[in-house]
Amino acid sequence: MSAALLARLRGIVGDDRCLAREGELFAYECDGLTLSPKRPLAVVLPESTAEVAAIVRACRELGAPFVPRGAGTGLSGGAHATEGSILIECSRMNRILEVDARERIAVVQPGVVNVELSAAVASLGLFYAPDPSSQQACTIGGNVAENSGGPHTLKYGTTTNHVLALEMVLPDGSVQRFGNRIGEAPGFDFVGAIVGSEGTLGIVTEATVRLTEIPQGVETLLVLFDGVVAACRAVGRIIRSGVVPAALEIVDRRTIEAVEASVYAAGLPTTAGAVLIVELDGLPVDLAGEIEAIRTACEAERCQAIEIARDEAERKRFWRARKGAFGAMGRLAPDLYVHDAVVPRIHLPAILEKVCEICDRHRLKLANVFHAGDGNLHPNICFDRRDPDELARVMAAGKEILEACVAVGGVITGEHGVGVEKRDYMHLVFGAADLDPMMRLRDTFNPDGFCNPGKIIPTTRFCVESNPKARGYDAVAFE
Amino acid sequence: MSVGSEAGAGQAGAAGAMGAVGSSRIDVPGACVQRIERPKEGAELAALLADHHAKNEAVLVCGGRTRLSFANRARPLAAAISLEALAGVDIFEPDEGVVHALAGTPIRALQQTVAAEGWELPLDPPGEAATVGGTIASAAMGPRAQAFGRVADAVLGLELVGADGTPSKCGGRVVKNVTGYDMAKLYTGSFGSLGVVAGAWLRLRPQPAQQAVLTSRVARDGASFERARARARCASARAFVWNESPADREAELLVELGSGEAGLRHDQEVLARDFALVAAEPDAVDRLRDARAHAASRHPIGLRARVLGARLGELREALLAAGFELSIDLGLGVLTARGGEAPIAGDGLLGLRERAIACGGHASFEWLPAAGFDGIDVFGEAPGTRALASALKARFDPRGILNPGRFVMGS
Repeated sequence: MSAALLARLRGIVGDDRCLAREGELFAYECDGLTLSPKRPLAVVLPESTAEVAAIVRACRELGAPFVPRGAGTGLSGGAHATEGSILIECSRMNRILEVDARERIAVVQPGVVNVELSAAVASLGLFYAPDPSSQQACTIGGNVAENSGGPHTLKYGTTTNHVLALEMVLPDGSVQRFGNRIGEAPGFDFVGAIVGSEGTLGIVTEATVRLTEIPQGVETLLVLFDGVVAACRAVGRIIRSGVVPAALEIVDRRTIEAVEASVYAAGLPTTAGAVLIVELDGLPVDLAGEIEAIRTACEAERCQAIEIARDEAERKRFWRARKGAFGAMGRLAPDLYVHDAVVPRIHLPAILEKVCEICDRHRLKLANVFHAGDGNLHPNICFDRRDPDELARVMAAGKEILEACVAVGGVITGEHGVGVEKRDYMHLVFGAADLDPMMRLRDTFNPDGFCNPGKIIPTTRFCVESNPKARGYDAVAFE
Repeated sequence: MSVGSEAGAGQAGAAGAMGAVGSSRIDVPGACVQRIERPKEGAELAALLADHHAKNEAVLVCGGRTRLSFANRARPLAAAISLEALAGVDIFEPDEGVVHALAGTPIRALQQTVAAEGWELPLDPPGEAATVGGTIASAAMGPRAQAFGRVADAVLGLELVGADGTPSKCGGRVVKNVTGYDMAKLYTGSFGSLGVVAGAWLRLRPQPAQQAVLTSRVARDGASFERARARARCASARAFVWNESPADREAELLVELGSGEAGLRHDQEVLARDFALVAAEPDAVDRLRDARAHAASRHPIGLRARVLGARLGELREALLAAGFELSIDLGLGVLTARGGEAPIAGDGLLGLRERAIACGGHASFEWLPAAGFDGIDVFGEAPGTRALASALKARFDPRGILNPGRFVMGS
């Protein structure tokens, strides 16, 4: 560790917000992607834009790359430290700076926790629509970096649809604002390009976001099917019916079993092969007709039963099966690899069968919980990393799943981002000519790569094939 | 007579003045082009651009030529590349609700294609000749953006050809995607300055089960305006337009609703408490939208502003005082102003732009008299971003051959 850099950082934020001791760094050696840990040289915890800018300038002047981080819930390693880097943790910039209920706008610092923003504006009849599964912990800054989605993306869109303006510390240490309060500024759409850029174009220090009116009416349906393929077919029928639900989520049998055996138990019959959760919202007078359309679609796929939540308590019970799923999977195995891929929705039934076949062939335990309305799969592979053979099979199956999704017109990530996890799978979707404009964009903001190096862009073309390390899921897998 | 009341008048307007599709000459601010190339395939487009790039020849890129006047002065142009022949819907998946169309595909034709299967294309650009590529390049919105959202929201993926003739793609065909940078956002609304859109994957939305188009004459006072603005947020509103001219005694309210049957009835009952609405022609919003593009034949100045909803009335007053006719999308906060009286400097157009910025938004000049361009960026400038915009343009188009000067001034 450079003593000069450490002294400089402590001069900016003080001793208590600059962590550099071994024990202090342990918690920061990875984000939600836990299998390729790397400790940063130091972690700094700024509380203002001016501090972020000063930290960035110090890093540049003393030659240290820097990595922005929110709550560390990301699943693709977007906030992983790289060799010799400084982690800039924004969770202490957690103030809601302004709420304008009339214009339905909030101005927040990046460390505001997603669900806390909705809680803060609920009394005004408003909410913040993007609701990633980690919303109890993840931050708005992290959501902006990853363009986070969630179960209600189907109707309300992802983070990019809700960000109007940003303040960002650029990689040269200057502070720049992009966008405005109407979400339409002259010139290039820099806000659109920054959202989802995984912290590689700069560090967001303030976000102006759109708030949404809490719908007047909500109906939540729980539909039981014999199997996940029939549930997927019902989703296809719903999409074609002209109804746009707020959410269409599928939970498979293995997940139901895990949930019912856990503290999240929702009283679901473990005899069901799959559960489809349908949420409808809008004008109450329109919802009865939409429920009938859902019923028709599901009955055409021979659903076992349809339940409609009678009150808010029952609605929450239905959602427990979905929202408690990842926690409940801890019962199945010590480790969980949460995959994220998207296919055209018409291919969901076939791709689910394919995913099951791949995992069966590799003798892996698979559980599926996913955003069916978006075609966004989350095959969750339960495993034990201490078994090297099983680890190798997990990685091989993961690659096959991505290849199968891309083969039917899909992509390798719908909401978790590329990070380091999928950086070297980018070639499955994009060729060198497609990646070149991305590099031109990155280089416009971050020409020398000091800001969050090693993310998104493959290190070499086809390096998955050329670099055996990139295939392995060991401690240096994503170097 | 207001902008809105020109609906269907059929003037030649801006499109005719700039050189309609099929003509052999195109006039744009600052330049005239007499060599028009019309590639029929993506490979031909790529070859043309590679050739121009090799020769350092600047080109104008155009589609339906409905918005060519909306630009800064161009630097000298060697040729125009018109994408009118690179047209067609090659993939339409009614079960998925997505469509792929080539850049020159007319929006109106694409709308008809998807409507036959119960879908709606959420793009609503002004001008009958608007194309897929032109709409994306110019991020052209119409009154139905209230329901449809931004152009970028409809774009799932793009095929492009870079300034040097290299084809590339971004995004994809699925409705949710974070695989790499969201390049489609950057290209949308960049007026062809970073690359040429050759084709696009677009997401569709279900057609509403029921629709109603309604109109009313309303007193032209601030209280009526604010009452209409408050009602514009009703759930089924697709377009909610207030049309007025300083010379008129009354304003016209034009409303398009779309929803389930019960929701539509509910909203009509709510609106009827404030306004004596009567049925209008089913295509009244289409005609209004296209009339906005045609108004150049009568008005030397076309201004578009978008501001915060609560400040809309303030800018409306300022524009009326400056003699503009207005067509205001109340649910969007967009003011389309047509007039010919305002001077450029001082308290004139630039003063009105400052007013729009003070109201939380911005203003751009869709067309101006030839003398009006001196020293003005018609799009306006986001504070502090000029250097970044120029650097981006230089990285994507280092020889400056794509629509030079028109979007990024000086680049």
